[in-house]
Amino acid sequence: MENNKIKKQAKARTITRKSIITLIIWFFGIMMFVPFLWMISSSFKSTEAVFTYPIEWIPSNPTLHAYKKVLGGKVPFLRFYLNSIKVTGIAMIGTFFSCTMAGFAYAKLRFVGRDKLFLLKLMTTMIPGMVTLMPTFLLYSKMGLVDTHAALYLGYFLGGTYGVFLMRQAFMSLPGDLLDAAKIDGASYPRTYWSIALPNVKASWTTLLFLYFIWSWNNYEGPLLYLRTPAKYTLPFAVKYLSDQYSQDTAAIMAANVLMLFPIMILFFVAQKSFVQSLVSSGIKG
Amino acid sequence: MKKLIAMLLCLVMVLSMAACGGTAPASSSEAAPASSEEAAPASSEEEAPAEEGPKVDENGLTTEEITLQWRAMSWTDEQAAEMIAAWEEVHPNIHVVYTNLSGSGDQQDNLKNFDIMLASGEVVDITYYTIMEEYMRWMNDGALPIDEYIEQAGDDYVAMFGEGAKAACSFNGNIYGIPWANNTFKVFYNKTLMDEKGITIPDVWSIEEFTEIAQQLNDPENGFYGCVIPSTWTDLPFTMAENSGWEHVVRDEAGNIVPNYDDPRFRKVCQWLYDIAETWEISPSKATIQSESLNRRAALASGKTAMIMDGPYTLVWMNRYQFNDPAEPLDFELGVAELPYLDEDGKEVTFGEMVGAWYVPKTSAYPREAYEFCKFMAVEYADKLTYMPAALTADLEAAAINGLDTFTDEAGVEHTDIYPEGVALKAVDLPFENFVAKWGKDYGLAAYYNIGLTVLDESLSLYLGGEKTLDEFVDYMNETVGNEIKNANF
Amino acid sequence: MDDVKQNVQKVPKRKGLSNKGQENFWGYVFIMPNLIGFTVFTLFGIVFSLIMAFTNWNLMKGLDKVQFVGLDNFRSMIGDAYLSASLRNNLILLIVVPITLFLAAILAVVMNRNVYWKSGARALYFLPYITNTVAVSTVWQALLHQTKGPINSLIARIFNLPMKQTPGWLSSSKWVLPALIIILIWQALGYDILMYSSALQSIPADYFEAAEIDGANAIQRFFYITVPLLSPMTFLLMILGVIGSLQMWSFVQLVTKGGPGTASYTIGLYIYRSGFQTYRTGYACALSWLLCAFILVLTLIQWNGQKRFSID
Repeated sequence: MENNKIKKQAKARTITRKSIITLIIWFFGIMMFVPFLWMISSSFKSTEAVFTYPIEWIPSNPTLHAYKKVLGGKVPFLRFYLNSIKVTGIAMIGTFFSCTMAGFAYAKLRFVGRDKLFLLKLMTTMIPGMVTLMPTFLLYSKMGLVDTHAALYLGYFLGGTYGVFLMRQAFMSLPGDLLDAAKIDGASYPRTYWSIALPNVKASWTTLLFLYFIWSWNNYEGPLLYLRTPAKYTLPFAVKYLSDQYSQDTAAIMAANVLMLFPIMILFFVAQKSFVQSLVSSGIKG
Repeated sequence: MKKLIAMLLCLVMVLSMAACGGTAPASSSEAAPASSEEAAPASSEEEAPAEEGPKVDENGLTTEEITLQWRAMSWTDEQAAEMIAAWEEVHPNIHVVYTNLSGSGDQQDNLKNFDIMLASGEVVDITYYTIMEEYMRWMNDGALPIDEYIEQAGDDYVAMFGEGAKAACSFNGNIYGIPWANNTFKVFYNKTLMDEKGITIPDVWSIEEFTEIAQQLNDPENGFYGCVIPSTWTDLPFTMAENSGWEHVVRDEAGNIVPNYDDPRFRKVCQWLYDIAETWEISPSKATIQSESLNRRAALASGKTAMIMDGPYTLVWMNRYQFNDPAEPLDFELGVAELPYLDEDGKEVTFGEMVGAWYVPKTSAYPREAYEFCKFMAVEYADKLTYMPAALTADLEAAAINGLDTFTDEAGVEHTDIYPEGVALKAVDLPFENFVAKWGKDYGLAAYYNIGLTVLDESLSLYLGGEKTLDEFVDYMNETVGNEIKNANF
Repeated sequence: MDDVKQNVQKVPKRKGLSNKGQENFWGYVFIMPNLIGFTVFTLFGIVFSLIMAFTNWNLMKGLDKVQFVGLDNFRSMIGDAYLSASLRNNLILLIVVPITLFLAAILAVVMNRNVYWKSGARALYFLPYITNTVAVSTVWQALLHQTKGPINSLIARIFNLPMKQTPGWLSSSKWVLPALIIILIWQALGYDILMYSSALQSIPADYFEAAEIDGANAIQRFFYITVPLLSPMTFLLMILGVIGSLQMWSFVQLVTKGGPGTASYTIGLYIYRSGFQTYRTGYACALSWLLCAFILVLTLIQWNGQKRFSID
């Protein structure tokens, strides 16, 4: 009985301690979130009211003028969405197949030169992306891809090195018997890849898709270098373009940001549990 | 899971097609290179025999149907359409297509996009921008020299634009630019207020006299500034130093180009800029300008200041404030005066600069025709569209009246004779014999001037904001500009 | 006899290529898209850039006017004040990495077993990471505005200062780097927390329980057990963080354009400027190789550190 009491006390202490820590962590978490709150609140204010102090978290005179301005611009905002969806969509499809296929091959198939090729890839990760900035630009301009969306998704489409590494890691952790059994059953390599290997590394390719989705969606350097027609801009660059136009109208800039981030945030909050889970459990090791 | 992926893929594909489908008609600039590529091979197929055969007229202009690509950021689509219509009346077979390059609010970005166009070999026949930026491109083989086309056309460049313009538009012995517009700087002031207080502004006045008058009128308690000096247009105040003979860069004894910031005239202007805002508080500080989003022209128009230093374009801004919605008529008479002089050397010296010139980029498919277009605009059209045309044959009076004293507001109403007689003309006048142009005496230093100006523009706030003392700032300018000169690619 | 026949039927022999050949064929098919991208963009890019670093390639003049200039590009790096300013700024900005790792480690450990709804908390910290550069820069520019921004308004209120004396943040050469550091930590924290959380999963709980029984308190447990066991992840994140920090350019270009003066110039920004604005594209290539050398050296130092200090 004494034991039970002690246990109960210990449990109470644990709950108290956990609650306090939860509050502290969540407090700092909200602090991290404050810039977003400010952004959302400002987007509903009139331009002059944006910088009033003390901060009015809930605007006293909420107005949609900023949103009307942004949505009614020369290029309809919807177009920017479509552009982003198109570019990221194509990039993701390509990334998915390129990275998983290459990862599978490097991990499980034995072909001539495999290890040397992989070593080569490994070595080039040491070389920063800045080195290829100018040559890549030259390539795209010679291919006539300047001011096209292809310049934005082509790099992702053919698979990034990080993705290949990630998938190779994932496939390598699959037990060898799984694939041997498939081979004995007479499955072809493509079939093995599709029906057997892929489903078993779902956590990893979900992570792959999430990460590359974020990187491609948020890509700013691409449009900066390669796009110049406003109608082709993807969201991040479009917002920059709009914020240059409305340089004095902070409310409009914030409205543009909110419009850009809103779907991502919704998507994220909906999917965060599975995303965080997959990231954490894909066991990215040191 | 598979179904979900399949559905997502379908959704993405549908949306992508929507995006693609939308892009096609919307992207006129995709159509433009496409049509030039169609026009170019088509007509070059016909022109190939033309190089041997007589498919050009006596001035070397083609008689084929061609299309020129005109890309710039300085005109609206409507203005460009008017200009093209006037051109095509005279040359019906040479069509011109205008593409506005202002894809970004950031001029540097627009310029970068333009450079990428040239670097990727896209055909651009005609362009225009301010002379400082253009010089960079001329020096790096971004433009075609037009000497041979001038000859083919039988033109006399000097007769059209003058020796000074020719020097300003040349690099390495070749002419590249066709001058479009000039500019000068004046003091614009509230004459009504001056008259009330019994103050007259002399034709020639020192900077001390300027400060004194501004001090007399300064009324900070009532939110009235004696003057508003532009803190963003770094160029302007240093014009006073240039009038006294100061230059951003000079050649030393060995002939090397060195920065020239440790100079009493430069220091005097810097000190004056600092004092007028921080010490004497006659002009708003940069922080105030930023926080209140103060606009010097708006300040003058709405009676918040007595004097500003500015270019003639101020009158256009005044027109906008007076006539565009919300219209606030000026409740005072506008006066124009010369810039004050810094020291004895700057007395009775006028400042003028070429603002911009047309040129033919290196990727042009039809340079001879492109030159003809630029020349047409500069000589025939400039006085209709700009208030200080560069062409010697232009009607300066008409240009000034047309550009400054006449205004069509947003509602379409035309206003004429806006200002008292002579004001518009005085705004563009270059009264004194002694004339100083942007690059001082040695046009060969134009590019280096540009470097100095750019660095000054980026760094003046370090001094005005109190982060560096004057001595530190002078050293910083010398060091930075010196470094840039060393790194210069030309 | 029948048995043998049946067995043969159960393991059909492939037609066409031998098994080895099949594996080769499919191996190459599978890596083909990635290999094409790698060869065209990465390999070609690296080789081309290396060659161009020894030329005077001028973007506007074009490739036909390119001349070989030997080591000139590297020589001009020595007196280049912009380069030294950039390198200095980059080194200062590197401090983001250890600070973020330290905070992330503590937060990850605390969140691991002591917080209710930890996936929600993690998500909150992760949000800045998935926000793109443009949103981050425009919002922070507004927040850090010297005279109008809410942060300075708060500071002015708390410390009783006139607005003029509040930190200049992005418009002051003294405060711009601290401002950038704050923003960068804000953005990177979530990612590091997630990575540490994943690494923590692989530490068996018994270790902690054993230590607890032995009388170690939370802080001791943290430093003697958690930190050493997390060191592989720490080193990985540190290397990634350093590489990322040294290459950063579009972020500064957006937020400060390198200003005021050269106070927030980074080497990445300088490479971009040299390549696209001043047309010194050959020099830009040379600079990028300098950056590469820099990164390699730092990575090797960290690698050695990992070998010596970590348990693996």
